[in-house]
Amino acid sequence: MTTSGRTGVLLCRGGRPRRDDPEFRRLRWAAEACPGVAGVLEVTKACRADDLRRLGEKLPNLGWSDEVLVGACPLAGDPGPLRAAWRAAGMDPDRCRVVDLMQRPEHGDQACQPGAGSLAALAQGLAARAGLATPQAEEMVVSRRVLVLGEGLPALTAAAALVEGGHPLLLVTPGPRLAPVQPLLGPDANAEAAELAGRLNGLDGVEVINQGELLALTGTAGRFVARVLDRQGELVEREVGAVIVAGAPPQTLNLDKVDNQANPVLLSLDELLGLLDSPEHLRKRLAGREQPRVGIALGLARESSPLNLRAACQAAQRLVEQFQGVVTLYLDNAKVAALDLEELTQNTRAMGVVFMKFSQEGPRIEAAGGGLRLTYQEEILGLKVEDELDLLAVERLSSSDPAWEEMARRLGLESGPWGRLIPDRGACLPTISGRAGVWVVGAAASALDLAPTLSQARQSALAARELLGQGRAIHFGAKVKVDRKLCTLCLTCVRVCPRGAMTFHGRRPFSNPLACTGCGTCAAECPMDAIQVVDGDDRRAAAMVRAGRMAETETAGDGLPPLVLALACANSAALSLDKARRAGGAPPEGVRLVRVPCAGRVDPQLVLDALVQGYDGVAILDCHPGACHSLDGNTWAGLRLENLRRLLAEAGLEPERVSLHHLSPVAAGQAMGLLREVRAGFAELGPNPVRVEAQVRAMLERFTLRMDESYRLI
Amino acid sequence: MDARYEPKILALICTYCTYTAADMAGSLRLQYPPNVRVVKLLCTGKVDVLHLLAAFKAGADAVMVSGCEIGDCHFLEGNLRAKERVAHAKELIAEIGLEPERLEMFHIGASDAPQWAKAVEMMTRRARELGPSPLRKSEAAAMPAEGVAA
Amino acid sequence: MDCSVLVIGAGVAGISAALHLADQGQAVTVVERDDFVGGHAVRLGCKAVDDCQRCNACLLPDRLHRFLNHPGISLLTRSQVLAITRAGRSFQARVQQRPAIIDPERCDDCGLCLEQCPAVEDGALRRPAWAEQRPTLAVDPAACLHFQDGRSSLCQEACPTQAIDFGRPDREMEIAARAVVLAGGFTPAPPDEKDRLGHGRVPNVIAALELEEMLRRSGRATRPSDGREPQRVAFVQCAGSRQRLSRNYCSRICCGYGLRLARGLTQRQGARATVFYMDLQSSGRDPDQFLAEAKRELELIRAMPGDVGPGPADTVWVEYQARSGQPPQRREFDLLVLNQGLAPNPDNPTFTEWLDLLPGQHGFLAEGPGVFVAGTAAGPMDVAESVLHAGRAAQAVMEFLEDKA
Repeated sequence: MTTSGRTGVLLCRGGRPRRDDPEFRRLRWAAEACPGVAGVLEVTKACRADDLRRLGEKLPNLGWSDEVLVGACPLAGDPGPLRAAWRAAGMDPDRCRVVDLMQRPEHGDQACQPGAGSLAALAQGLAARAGLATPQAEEMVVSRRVLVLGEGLPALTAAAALVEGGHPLLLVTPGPRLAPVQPLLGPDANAEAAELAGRLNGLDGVEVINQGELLALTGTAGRFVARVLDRQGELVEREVGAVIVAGAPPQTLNLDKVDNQANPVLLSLDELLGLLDSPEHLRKRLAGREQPRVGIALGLARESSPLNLRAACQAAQRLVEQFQGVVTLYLDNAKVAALDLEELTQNTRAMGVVFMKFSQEGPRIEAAGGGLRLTYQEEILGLKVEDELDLLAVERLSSSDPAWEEMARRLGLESGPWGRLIPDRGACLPTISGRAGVWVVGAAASALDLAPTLSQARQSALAARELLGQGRAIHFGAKVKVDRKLCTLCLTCVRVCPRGAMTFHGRRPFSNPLACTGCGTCAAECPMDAIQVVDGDDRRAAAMVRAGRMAETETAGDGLPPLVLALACANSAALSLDKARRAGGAPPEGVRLVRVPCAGRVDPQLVLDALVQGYDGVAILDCHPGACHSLDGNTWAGLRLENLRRLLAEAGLEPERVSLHHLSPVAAGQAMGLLREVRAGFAELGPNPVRVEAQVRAMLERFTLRMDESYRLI
Repeated sequence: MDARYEPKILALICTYCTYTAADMAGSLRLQYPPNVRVVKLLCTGKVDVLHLLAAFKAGADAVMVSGCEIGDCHFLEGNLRAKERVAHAKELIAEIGLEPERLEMFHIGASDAPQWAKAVEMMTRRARELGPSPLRKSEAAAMPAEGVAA
Repeated sequence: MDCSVLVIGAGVAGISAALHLADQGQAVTVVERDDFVGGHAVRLGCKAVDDCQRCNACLLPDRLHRFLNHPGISLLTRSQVLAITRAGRSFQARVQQRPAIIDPERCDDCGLCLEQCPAVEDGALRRPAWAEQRPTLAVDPAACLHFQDGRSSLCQEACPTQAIDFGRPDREMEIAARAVVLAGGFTPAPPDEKDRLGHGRVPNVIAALELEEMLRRSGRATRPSDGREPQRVAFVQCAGSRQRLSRNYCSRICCGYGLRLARGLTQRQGARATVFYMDLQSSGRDPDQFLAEAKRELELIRAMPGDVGPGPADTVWVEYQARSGQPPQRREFDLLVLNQGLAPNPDNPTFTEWLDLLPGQHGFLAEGPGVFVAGTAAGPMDVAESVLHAGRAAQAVMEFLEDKA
């Protein structure tokens, strides 16, 4: 935990063992998490000379220059040994405030006991320091019903898991049945799906709408309202607490390499599997040839998947068993990434199926003599392959179509490449969507095989259970507050919230505490500055920035080290910096670190204020693009940065004085190096002219709105 | 609809055209409803979308923005910007459940006093027909419980 | 000690499963063999090259923090399961806990012991990859000199709080549980069993996890021989997987892992990277885009090295056959990285026997009544999938416990 304030917390354990005191542990962690606190140290006994001597040696390196809260007993206080240690370390003992934590026993051998209510006193002291109210747990009534969209084993697995947890279900399938046969998944999976469907159909609390269409999903997590059109055109409206999207994107046969797409020799892999179940139809399809030549091609247009490879091998084996012909499997990369597949491909080969690999240039496929001809240059053997085929099976691949995109829009999600419905962020699980309370499972969440899909289904069901509980979800109060006087109902916050946590309800914006992550994007984007993040409002952020500035003595001119403000995102950079600090690293001279909940929280006004205060540079340290914990906080930060730079250029200040750098939470080894780089970059620019020129300061101030003035409209 | 309901209409008008026309309407003793409160701006280009939203938030039943004729703006483009902003604001208020007809853009030349009177009359009638704004604190009209799809 | 669920292993899967179960109100006990938690995943570094590469290493920090602070989870580190059996409708486990040679209650992390330890380079005294844990220092009996000669104790003498004591006894305890989650993870496959790829024989041939450690500490890859940054790096995929006689399966994650490492070296260090492969497996949320970018930035050679040897100035030459019928080609590199696969935990057969489970595929674990498997103990998978798999296991545990109740 790093802040520009230099408050330290020293906790005396009273000689008691750490392990047996969860209360003490919690207090320590609460102290560490407190925004005003720069660090927490423990001492075994604050009255023991040895302990204090070692403490005294450490103190100067910690940089605690503000107040230090000491949780100890009165012995540690004035004129106690602790203050002596402070003085010996060259620090001002008056900055040390002792909060009674311990009670010394009558006899010296016994361990000190926590004073009555003293832990609470320290906690309150910390909370007051941070300007926070002690968080109270609150309950929010939510609907326990879950909407599951989709059919087949993935949807039914999620549904069954939810039913086990006692959740009412609304199951909406695009097709007429809960468990249509899905040939690619194999007979075992289909049997399991049929069994689950039989169990769920007609179960109390399970409502099934076949051939249903989702019209709208309004509301926020725990309090959605789903409107579904059933096959008779009747509108069904239900309150749901969570949604699991387990449907697969539309699949097409992508064959732009084939001249004639309606060629009867060409079919999809799942069609082939279906035909294998009725050999007479297959024979007809093969035009009665005695020794048919059948090909299965994977990876033609896009990368294939373990699921398709397994299906292809099984189809090939069945073909060999049923017919006397030649079966060839054409592959780009053999997607053998599942425990059974290496052996499956070996067995398939052993049965006489030919495996032909192609690389960069895929095969050219054209109609030829009633069948198809497949031509390409095989690289490894150096062969020119020219195969005449009586039947060619090709995998279907996920794609997106207008209906799918419309469904995505109604769900409040964005449809990406290949119909993917997830925002794809490194710091989030693949089932996380852009809307809190909505999970995505299966192909739309980039799962490549059945087993990972089913893991996703069950984990999402569990996540939904965790969200909804028994219908009363626990939370610790709203993380953002909207000032009704300033709000103009422009609904910008509703639109920018990365998790869909803001809705318009009862004539004002409402932030759902179950969905809100406190990233602060809404606060930074609100044009009226009407939104404040509870844990770190504008006032406090500005105060921290100013405090960091004031800590330097004001002298103008060259020879001063650059004064740098580093705004570190709590989900990424702050974690790495903290780790680096614990490992003994120290930020370079002149760098002040302020923690922000997300880069999306960084208000441009804060940055400008910092430059007006005289910082030579402001660096925002956030997640790498594509890794934002709040999905898009860093995107917003990047956009604001561009605008800021334009403003700075107009004001006559170098735009490079504001910069954006990326630091992941698991890159502690690079943290201090990055700070040094940042500092060196600003050092090159020279001192901020604002430090010495009042006129530039005046110009900059025209661009900044002061935190303490109320805003007038005209 | 409350018989005592008198619409409150806010008019944001530009100095060079509409205000002159309104002034002339006064000189000509043209009669028009007294429900309008006029805010005189140098140019309607000053009007921000937020001002329009704030007006409704403050309880206005209808809002008029009136600038010069297209092509005649004293500040060249102000009225064009105002026109776009009014169009955008109409979409925004529709999202929160207000009828977009409560907000309108007019272009009234400096000599068009009768136009001004007609515009005020039209907006007042509209506001009466639509009823009091749901955002009015004194009205009991409930907003729809659902809002925007995310 | 009684609990409802015993989780064996505190890697990413064990941690995730424990969190899910504890959040649902179950009393969870987690047994971890090592001094520290986090398993393999916690030692993975960020692979971003500016853009995130979706390696998912950053999934851990939140979970670790919550895991270490969760009131419903009892964590036993330095602990090993000596035996576990079914006892009626529940399970009985006997667990041995190694003593904390460095007492976490007394250790104030002053670091004096590290300064004194003569074997610190060999890892006798280590810090965790994730510093939030207590203790922040641990003695590794395998490398510590005291365990060889019975005398060395410079650290003990140096410690100002008398936190170090080599004489503490082991502790044994009995744990009863209603369900068990096996999350013991994997063990890295030996990268060069046939001694064809030069590991241990040729300088500057390293295993992928060694490269990972280097990157995690300093962010730069260097050659072991002279500490300089390599200009030409080669990666060998499937070093230890897809081998008929030993591990006849694909380890699934190494293609994505290797390609990310290679791209990192190319973009961050300006090296030229070559990747020897057989088949490229899909990885990440957008496999097509990922592989297309890899093909643009890296040299991909579809051949496995036949022989590896030392070249002048500690370079490494690699011989391979690009096309059948042609003579083998030889290329020289500054650093060769063997991407080893995932092998099953050698303890798996023991647990299979104790808990009367059916054998899993290829030595990995299968589930049984009341016994669930989470993460790579079930088979190779990446970090994100381990978390999801653990969620699946937790949901299955809840179903099982609720049925019993």
